[in-house]
Amino acid sequence: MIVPAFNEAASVADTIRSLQAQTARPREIIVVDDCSTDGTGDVARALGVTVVRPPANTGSKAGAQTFALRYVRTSLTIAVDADTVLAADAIERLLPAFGQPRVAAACGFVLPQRVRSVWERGRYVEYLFAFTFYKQVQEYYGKPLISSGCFSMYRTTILRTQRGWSDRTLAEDMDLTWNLYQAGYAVRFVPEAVCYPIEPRTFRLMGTQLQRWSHGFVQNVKLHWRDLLAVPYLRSAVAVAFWDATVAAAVYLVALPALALLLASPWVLLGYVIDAPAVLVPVLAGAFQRREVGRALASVPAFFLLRTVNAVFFLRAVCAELLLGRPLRHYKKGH
Amino acid sequence: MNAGLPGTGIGGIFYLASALVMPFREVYRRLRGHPVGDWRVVTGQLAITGGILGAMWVTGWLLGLALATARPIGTAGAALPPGNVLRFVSIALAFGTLAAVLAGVELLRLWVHRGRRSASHIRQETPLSHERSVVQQWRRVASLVVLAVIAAPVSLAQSPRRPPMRVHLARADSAWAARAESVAAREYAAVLAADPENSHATYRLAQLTRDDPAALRLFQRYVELEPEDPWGYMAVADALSRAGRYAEALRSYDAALRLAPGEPEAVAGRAKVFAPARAAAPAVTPLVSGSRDSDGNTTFRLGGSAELQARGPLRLGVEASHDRVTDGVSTAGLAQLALRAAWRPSRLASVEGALGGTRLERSDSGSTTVVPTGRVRARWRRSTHGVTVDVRAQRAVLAASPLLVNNRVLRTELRALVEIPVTRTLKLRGLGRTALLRDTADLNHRTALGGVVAVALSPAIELSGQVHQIRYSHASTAGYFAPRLAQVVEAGSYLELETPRGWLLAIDVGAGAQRVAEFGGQPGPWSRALRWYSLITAPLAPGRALQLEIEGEDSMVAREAATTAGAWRYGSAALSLRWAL
Repeated sequence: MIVPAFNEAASVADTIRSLQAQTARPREIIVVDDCSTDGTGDVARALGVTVVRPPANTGSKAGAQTFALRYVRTSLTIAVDADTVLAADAIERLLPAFGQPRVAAACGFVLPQRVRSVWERGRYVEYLFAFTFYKQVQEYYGKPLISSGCFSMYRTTILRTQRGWSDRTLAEDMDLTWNLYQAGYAVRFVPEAVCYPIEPRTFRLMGTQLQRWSHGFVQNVKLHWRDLLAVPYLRSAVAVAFWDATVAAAVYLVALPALALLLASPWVLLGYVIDAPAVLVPVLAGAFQRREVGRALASVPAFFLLRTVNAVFFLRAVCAELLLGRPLRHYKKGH
Repeated sequence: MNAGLPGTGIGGIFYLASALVMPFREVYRRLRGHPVGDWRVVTGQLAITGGILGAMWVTGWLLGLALATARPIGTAGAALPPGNVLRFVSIALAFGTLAAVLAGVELLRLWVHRGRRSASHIRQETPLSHERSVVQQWRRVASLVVLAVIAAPVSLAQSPRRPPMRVHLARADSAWAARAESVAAREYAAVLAADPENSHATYRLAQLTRDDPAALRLFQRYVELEPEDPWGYMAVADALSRAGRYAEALRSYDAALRLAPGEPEAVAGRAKVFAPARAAAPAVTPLVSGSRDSDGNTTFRLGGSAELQARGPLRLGVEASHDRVTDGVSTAGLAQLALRAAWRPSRLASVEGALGGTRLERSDSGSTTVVPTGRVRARWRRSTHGVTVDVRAQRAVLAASPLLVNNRVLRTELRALVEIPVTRTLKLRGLGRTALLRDTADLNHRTALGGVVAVALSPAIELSGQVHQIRYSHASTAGYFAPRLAQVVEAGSYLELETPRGWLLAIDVGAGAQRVAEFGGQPGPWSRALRWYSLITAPLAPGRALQLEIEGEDSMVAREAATTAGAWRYGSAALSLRWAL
């Protein structure tokens, strides 16, 4: 089990404890102290796990994870972010997915660890929506779009064949997932395996994360589009996501206000929330299973704010990466 | 991370449509015999989809009402209520956009993955190169859009005609790359209809119809078209071996090796089919056996079997034997002839059976009678170490003594064994048997129940504790011992040793105690019950082996054989030689 960590002293202990409390306990927990300056390595060492440290900061999560891959001696490798805690049975729930030899990776249901600020609330609803509806449909068609980077399990031999995680894009999890599909492997989504990452609390942190995600998505589409065309269903899912990130975002940010001005009707602005009842259905279905209906209802308005901000970042990323030829290369942590 | 903007744009419509397709896909897969998905997921997602559609409908209706009070919605919808216009326009726009995007992706795919690739490429599928510049790739996309715009009116103006062969080939290759097998097969077939000598399409179509005997003919056709390609011969060999024609597969591998000496896949493939080629070859197995029990009954059997060449999972054969049974005073005879078949559809399931007749030669009158006899056995194992079910039905003549033969005692039996592995080493077995014993004057009923706890010390050694109980409905004077009740408690051991050269030794022994209650009486004292069975197989050459079976029993009521008296000892030996032709 690999836990990449750079200056995560505040959260890595919770992560390690949640791993040590698993019903299916990992054989070895390897924390990659990516040359932290806040004593992350010491915290991890005190909890009795293996700590490895590269000679210099690897510059990205992908670099830190790939550095640790050489120390893995098990047939399955789990990558968990240092700010993520797992439900006690998460690993146990994920393991059966590897009963089929073609399965190279599996991921679980993601929910924010803390749901307090408006951004955390927005992300909470976004995850409830996406993991209750979109991802489950993707799983049914055998093509989850991404094996989430915050918690995924991989078959080690295949991971090594892929040379670990690549830092050529800012979304190493998406890059690896799509590479696996192109190599003919399967990826699974197991909704019962739940993990809880810490989500950005403030707008600044959220902005950093959204910038990384949006650029990472566009970079991956740019890099993989040709090969993705050979992967059924995934090609449609990616095309639709790309369309929404570009055209739909433009309509959302430009066309709706322009139309409201043109028609001099504030009713048009209802377009921003017109799908609220439809969004509520999967959100409440997911929240009901977790007995969090009240929290979900209270968080729904934040989702629409986050979605608007999200649209801005995706549109900017598309312009920068594809039209202006200014790719983002520097990996910045989102919190 | 999430891609796109959940809930917005055509993403939501795409997943709604995907969820709506799920039940139809499930039904289609079920009808086609494909593995079906999880209906729980399907119904769950359908429920969510239904909720979303309902929410959308209500939203559109409410919004229409609100807008109707604010201002009219244009002239186009003047005849319709505003809610309907909104719903119609938004649904048409959303689905139209989604359809356009998806169609665009498919067009792009056809264009990008067009072109013909040789059969040698088929075997070396590598991820497409990323090295082409992004600028070049996007230029192609733009060109495609321009071409599509220009070509559309032209195509519409033209009369419908069949697409040229290269279009079929491009479509086929794209479908192949996308693993859309039925589409690829249809397109390759179209290519072959236009160009019957297209070796690439022939090879690919053969690959796509692997489970069909037609695949073999296509691979053979490919070999005719490309006689210098060793991979063609290897594909033929592979198809032949799948069809169970191992000897021909061997010859094809030899042909491949002549063209590509030392080719690892051909060497490995040849090695793989060599043993089954000998095992599947026609074989004869002469057999001689004899037995003697404590009542002075002696049997002598001369017989054998012949197996035809195995055809895939099916193997047919014939077996015959002649037995002489004597008690020192009189002698009876039996002649058996049966056709037999064995079907092994998978590694974990098998069915075998034999159907024929047995001619009984009575010792007292010298008359003969022919009775139909047969057996069928089905075995299924869930996985290598999973639950096992073994069901057998048999109709046979009891021929342990001349008296039994003279009385024409026939046993029709149904038995079942279920083995449940509790852990990798601990197994529980339950046995149940019910049999009708019919003779010239009487009909008796025998039931047996048993339980076994077995511990595997290693894959080759097993220890067990067993309890069995046997009951008859009434006593018999036909020549077999039929107590009211027999109980057996036994410790057993099974050992199997195999050497790298193919020698096999299997020993199944049991030692315990049993007691018997005759009709009208209480169970008697416990007495010993011993049994021994051993099998030695000596390989002589590939496909040829000598086999010796030795069996002994010292008990009042045997579980398998028919004991002729209340105190009974028995020993037998059988020697057979399997000779693959």
